Amino acid sequence: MTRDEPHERFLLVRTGSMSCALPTSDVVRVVRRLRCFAVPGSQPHLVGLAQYGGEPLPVLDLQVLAEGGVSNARHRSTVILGRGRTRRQSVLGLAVDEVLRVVRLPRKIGGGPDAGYAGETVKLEGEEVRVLNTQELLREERDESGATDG
Amino acid sequence: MADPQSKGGLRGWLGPGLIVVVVLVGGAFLEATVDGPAEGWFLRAFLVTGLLAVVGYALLVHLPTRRKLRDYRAFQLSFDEQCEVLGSSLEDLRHGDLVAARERLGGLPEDMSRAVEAANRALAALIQQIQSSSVEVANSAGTVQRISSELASASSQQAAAVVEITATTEELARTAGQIASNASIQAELAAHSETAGDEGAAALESAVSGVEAVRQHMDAIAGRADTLGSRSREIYRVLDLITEIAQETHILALNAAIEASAAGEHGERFAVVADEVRRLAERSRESVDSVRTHLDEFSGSIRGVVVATEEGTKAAHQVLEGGKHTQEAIAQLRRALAETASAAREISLATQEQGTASDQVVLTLREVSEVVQRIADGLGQYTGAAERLNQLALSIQLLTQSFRIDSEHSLKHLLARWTDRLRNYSGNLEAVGGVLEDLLEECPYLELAYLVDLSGSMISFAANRDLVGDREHPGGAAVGQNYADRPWFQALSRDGRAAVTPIYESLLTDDPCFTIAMAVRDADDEMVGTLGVDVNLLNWTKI
Repeated sequence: MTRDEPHERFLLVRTGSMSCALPTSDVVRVVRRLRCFAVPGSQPHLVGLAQYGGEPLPVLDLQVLAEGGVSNARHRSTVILGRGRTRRQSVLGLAVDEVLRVVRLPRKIGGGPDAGYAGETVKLEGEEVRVLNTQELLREERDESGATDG
Repeated sequence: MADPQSKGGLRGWLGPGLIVVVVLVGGAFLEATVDGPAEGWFLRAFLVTGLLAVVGYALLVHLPTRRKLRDYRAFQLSFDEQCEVLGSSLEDLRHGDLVAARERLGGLPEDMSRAVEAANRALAALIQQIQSSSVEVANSAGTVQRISSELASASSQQAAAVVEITATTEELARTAGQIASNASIQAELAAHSETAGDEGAAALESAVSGVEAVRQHMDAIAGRADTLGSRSREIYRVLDLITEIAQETHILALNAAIEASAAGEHGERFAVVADEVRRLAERSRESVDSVRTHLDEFSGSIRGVVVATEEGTKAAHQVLEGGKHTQEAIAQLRRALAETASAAREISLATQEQGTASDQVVLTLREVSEVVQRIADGLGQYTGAAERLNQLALSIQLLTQSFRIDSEHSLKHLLARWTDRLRNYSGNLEAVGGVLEDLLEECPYLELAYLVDLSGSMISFAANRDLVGDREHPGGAAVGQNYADRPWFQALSRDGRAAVTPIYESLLTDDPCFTIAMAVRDADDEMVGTLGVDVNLLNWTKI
């Protein structure tokens, strides 16, 4: 990738053995040790509900979301996503093991609003990185919120 | 030769005859010389006187003298017969046959017969007494010989034992000397050991002090290590705090970068700064990790030091405990060494005294050995004397057996009884053999009984199997064997009286024995053979 090539910044995270890239445009904040309260009877990938900025925040386990299985609930960092980085819109927390850094990736990567949240995989410094479609995640969140509102 | 009685009768008539002749010659002379009547008267008176003298002589002298002479002749005849009887009796007595001598006394006057018989009986009693005494002497001498022989043997063994005891005592004395020497050396060694024990105790005390100092140092090290552990834990807390700050810084830098990316072109430079901050935070975290790693190693080393110090302290404790035990052991050892040295000195003194006593014992034992040896020699001589006494007693016994007395111990008398039995069996060899067997059965001390004829040829014999056993008879003991050259046969043939041989060694039993032979006579008292018996001396003396 050249400097002139259109690019976008992504937040590189690691959860389990998987590395993922989240577009910084949808990242509101990174917080550590966000206290979550488990929701009985919820989906396996739902870690629980946390309080962020006075509002309840659903926190999903990224690894369970991407690969299935059971949440280990020992994540150290939580990435708070928000469409347009605003809290008024839908806000979602992704629990990860570690937030590494901010990287630059080509703009074409990331997919449109209709792509699945598990985007394509790219090579970054010899390591496979899965680029998440955060808009899809936030859309599902909005749809679920809307359904809930509706 | 003239009859002495007729010769005495003529001498008896010689006196009166001489008177008649003197009277007649005197009358004739007077007749021739007388011339007158007076002278004729004288002649007649002379003749009458002569006649009266003759008659008186005949009545007063001649006739009594003749009666006395007759009585004398009768007495002389009786005396001769008695002398002959007495001579025969004394002849029997000379040959030792007291029984025959007593049987012949019937012809003697009662007083003489009684006196001779009394003398015979006294002699028989004396012989019997001598026999019994000689048997007892022989038995006693045999017993004395056996006992003295055993004593001599025992004395010899005792002498040998005394020699061995002397040698052993000498060895004991030498050993006592060696023990005394060894005890002295042991006492010196014990003294040296005591000194070495003192030095060892001092060295051990010094070592214990050193170990105690080491233990104190160990305790100090343990304290320092504990302090270091506490400090390490504080450092861990600081590192945790730094890590926390670094992570917070990292998150802060990431959020700053996110904000910068949201600012677009305007936040580019801020993003660089944020990334630098994030890098610093990451480096801080890496440094903290490195420090933590080093601190882990340091803590591990501290724990190792603590463990090693604890083990060292424990070992020092053990060494100190061991040192205390060793000190006690050395103290006991020193006491034991002191007692050992004292005991060794006492042993040395005692063994020296024992050596002196052993020397005295050796001297005494040597004297005892000489005395015992002299006793053994004396007992040997005593044994020889007893043996000679035994032989002498047997000789006396044999001598008494040369007499025949009316006693069951008189072999001649015994043999005479059996020759009387054989008198009825002459010519019947089977009966003779049976008699000989009966003789051996009655007299178990006889080895052999045999009957030989007048030419000295053996007719029959019987051997005592209890004495002879199953051994073969020697060449002399066989029917038909001639014994004419034997002394007993020759002596018997010479005077017909029983013969006793000197003692000789039996060919059948190898024991000392002697032979008694006696003539066997028929009903007419004619000698028809000889009965001989071989008497085993050992068994005979037992009886």
